[in-house]
Amino acid sequence: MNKNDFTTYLLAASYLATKSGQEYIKEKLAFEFRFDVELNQSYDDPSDEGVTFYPEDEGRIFNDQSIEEVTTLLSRSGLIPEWIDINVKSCSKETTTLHLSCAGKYTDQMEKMYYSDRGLASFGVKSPNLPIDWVEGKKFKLGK
Amino acid sequence: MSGTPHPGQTDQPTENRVWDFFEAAEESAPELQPQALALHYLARPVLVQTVSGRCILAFVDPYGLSGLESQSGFSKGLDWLQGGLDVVGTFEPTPFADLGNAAISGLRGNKTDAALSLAGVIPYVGDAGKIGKYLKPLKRFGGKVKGFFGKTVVRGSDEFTTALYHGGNLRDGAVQSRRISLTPDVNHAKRYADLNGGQIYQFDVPSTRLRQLELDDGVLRLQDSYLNTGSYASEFRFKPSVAPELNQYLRR
Repeated sequence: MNKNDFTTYLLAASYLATKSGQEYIKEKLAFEFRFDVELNQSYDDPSDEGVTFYPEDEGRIFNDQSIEEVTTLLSRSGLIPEWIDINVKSCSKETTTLHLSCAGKYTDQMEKMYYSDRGLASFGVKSPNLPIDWVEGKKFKLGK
Repeated sequence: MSGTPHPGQTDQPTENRVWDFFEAAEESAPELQPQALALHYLARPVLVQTVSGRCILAFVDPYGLSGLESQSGFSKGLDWLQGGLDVVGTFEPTPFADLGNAAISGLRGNKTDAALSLAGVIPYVGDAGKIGKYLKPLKRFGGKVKGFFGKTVVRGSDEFTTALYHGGNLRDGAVQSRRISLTPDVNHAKRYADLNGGQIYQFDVPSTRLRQLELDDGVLRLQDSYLNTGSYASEFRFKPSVAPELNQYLRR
């Protein structure tokens, strides 16, 4: 997957995560995105053949990234993480910060991307983290 | 994600936590709303007693497993009326509200409540007993609240477990020191298992422990869209530090 395609998927997933996140959150979410990225969040066995890992990613976190920076970070010679969970993390009047939790396995094969059947390649759109005692249909304040 | 405060977890002022209590009561146990409102006036120090900024109610019955006693609409109406009389009786120096309340309690066969209302005839001092009366609905959840201004310890229903599933491949058949998402929806887990030719793992997590992990920020709840149907499946995302404990709950 080239970088332009990845950026398109990232934008689509960001839009969906924000739109669905608005169903949970009281604040009006902006469609100006920033990203907090956590790498290597999967249970991978580095001895697996045919899988590309980046052991140096262990424990790496990148906060307040732009779309361009995320693309540079996650799209590596045509390979992208097999799954990337995306959800709204925080917000201000101007921006919505999305959390990206990324697998440690990278691939260029669409069928290996977890959410390709949803048309989102590797991006799994999740709800914001729900507060304790959250009740379905009840919105909550997210905060900065 | 680690170290990030839970969205609902703040060091907010006491006054706000009281309103949090009302919200929690309204959401998780509407039947308790009138009692909670009365308690607000009668026993504020008890109400705001919390652990980790969470209201007592949340500790007593983690997942509503104990259930509430079913009440008729008339009975609920009387509860509302008596709650209001308790509040009025606390601040109004004449004995009429308390006597009326005692009479209603007597007719309903609630001797203890009747006695407490009679004690309330003594202005202010006698009203102290009402605090205990309004703690009863909380205890009814199957928990036990200890202490008064100190740490709150609540014993829940240890016999209940929540079955959570993971679809995929766990290395060496166990949870490693990574975050892991489990779901109570076995079909949702199956979808992930099918994706990678994995299997379904079942974890029988004691419900009270699951609740405590939520309170301690050891697990976050979120929702995942479910098979493109527009509906959602719940997920519990456990932090890596919880992995050894989760392995104890893994059904072998």
